[in-house]
Amino acid sequence: MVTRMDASRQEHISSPTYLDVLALALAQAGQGRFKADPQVWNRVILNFKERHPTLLRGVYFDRRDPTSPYSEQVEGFFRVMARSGALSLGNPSYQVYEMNPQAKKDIVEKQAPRLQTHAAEITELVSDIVKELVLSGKPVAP
Amino acid sequence: MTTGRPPEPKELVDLQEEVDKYVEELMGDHHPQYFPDGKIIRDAVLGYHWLYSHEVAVIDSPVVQRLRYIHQTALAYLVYPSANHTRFEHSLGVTMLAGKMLQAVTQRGHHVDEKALYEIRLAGLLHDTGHALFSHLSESAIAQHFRAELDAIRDSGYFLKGDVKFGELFSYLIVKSKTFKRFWDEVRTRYELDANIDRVANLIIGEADPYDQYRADIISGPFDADKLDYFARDAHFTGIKIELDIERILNTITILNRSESPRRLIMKRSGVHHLEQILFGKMMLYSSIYHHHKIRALECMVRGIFDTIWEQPSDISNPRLRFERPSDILKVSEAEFFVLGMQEEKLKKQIGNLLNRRILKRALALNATTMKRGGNNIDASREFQSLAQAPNAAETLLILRNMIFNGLPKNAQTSIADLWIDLPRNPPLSEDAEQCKIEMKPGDEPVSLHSLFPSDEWVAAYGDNKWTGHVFYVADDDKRQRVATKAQQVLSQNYQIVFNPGARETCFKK
Repeated sequence: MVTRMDASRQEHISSPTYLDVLALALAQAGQGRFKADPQVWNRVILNFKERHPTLLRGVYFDRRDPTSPYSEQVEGFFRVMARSGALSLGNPSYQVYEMNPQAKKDIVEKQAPRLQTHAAEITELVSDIVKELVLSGKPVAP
Repeated sequence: MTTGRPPEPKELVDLQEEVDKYVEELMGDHHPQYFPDGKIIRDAVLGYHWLYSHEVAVIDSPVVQRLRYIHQTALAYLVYPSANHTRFEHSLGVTMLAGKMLQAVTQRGHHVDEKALYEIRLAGLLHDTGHALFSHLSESAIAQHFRAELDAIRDSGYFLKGDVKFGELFSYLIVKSKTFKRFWDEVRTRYELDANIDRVANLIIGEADPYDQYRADIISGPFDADKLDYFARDAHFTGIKIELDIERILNTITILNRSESPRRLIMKRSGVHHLEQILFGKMMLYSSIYHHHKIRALECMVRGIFDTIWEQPSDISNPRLRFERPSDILKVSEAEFFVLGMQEEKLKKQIGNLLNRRILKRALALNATTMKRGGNNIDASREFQSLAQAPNAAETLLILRNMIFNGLPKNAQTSIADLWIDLPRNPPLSEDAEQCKIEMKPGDEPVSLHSLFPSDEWVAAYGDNKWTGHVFYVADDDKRQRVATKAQQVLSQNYQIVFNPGARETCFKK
């Protein structure tokens, strides 16, 4: 027995969330090394959300300090990525995020087909990330 | 980045109209009484407290009096018998602490006039007027049910805070309602006050002029008066011993002065370990109260009642219990919910279970000691913790619940409203720590508390050692065992998890 509630939510559950969009953008940007600067990440993602609000539905920004927008959801995204082992703070001063190469490959394989219809927008986000946050070099293997 | 406030979204305008009608009915022809002097009250947590005459008039209004009938920690009193404190005394506590925080800032040489003190204390007093029965339980239920409306308001960018919740949104709308403003005008005239009620409403939603942003931070910020009070109050009334040096915290707050950005409330370096103490205490409260398995089961039961109502509202004879609009949640008290609910054929069993403390029981425990994936016992637990954070968690869990329920033999099926997969969200320590700004040296750029101590590692340690999700079902051992078996099967298939015997033993111990 599937309840009425289920029926109305089936479509929603099958659609990707902002977590999938951000994960794919990260996996497609550069070789997997990024500045670990929350302020810049928040600004880049806010700018993208303002251009494509529906793709990051559920991400909200506190803009009380316009010089430093902040999103709990963005913070939560990085925590989820770190907890799953996909991303780690990879140098002694904790200024660099490093993406696990296997996770990078898995995310692209799993999410790119699901987000095919939004490929152009995600490429835009990837380019913003590359411009402001990607660092040269490959992650150091764990 | 967009600057300037966008127009009010239609959803907010509609909600204001609803709230206007609600406040008009609630206040009726209530007019402020005249108190020539203020009053002193004695609070069990914060001690003696002076209230201004005009505050007593506001406290005596129906908008504030209704908070006496909303328990601060929802149904936690069914587990901690003395946790009977309400939003009413919490609001008085926030009034007191907000005033003290402002005075502490004044003592550091930042001039603040009397009007600002009145406004900030009023914001403290009125900040929870939009809370409804069972506090955050009903708030999260309506946030889920009316998600499209709430999302539209959040996405409109009208509120700078972004991620507004229904409780604070309703408080803001109540204070801005025509009837409350009419009432406030009478109070203001009678006591010859110069305080602006629109500014009070903005403080509640965390906003102020950039020059005065620290005032909004006192009401709605990373270490605001609200958090300090509920933290101390919840610990006191549950009997959990937690140290909180409020006086010391008051002595270490100050204002960040930078020409290019809003003046924010920050903490001096000497206050850092008191903030750490708060975060540590918060973990204690989470593990002892908010994540206590019986309290979580009670929360699921309340959620189940709302689901039953919204599954088929026309089956509910009393329209007050149908909650067809978000603001309808404000119109029913906890006592009314129980009494009216017991008269509904569709609800009386579920509500009777709450009234008689027949709490759902654990069928399966999900944590790092009870399950493994790929030989790794942390990985599986982390997967569920991540699922709890996902924006579509409720939908995913509903589908899994249905898979378990539909796989039960008929004689073990009671109702889907009895079967829950409960995955609590980890304590939001990292968010708090990222937002807490610390002044290392006067004049220097402040740093986040997050950069001074490893809050992420604390959360990770909590997640790996204390976090537990559960599958809940009715008390009957046989039925619950069947649910445990089916749940193991469904979760194993979908998440490649291997359970060890402890997953059940924890739940069925004699």
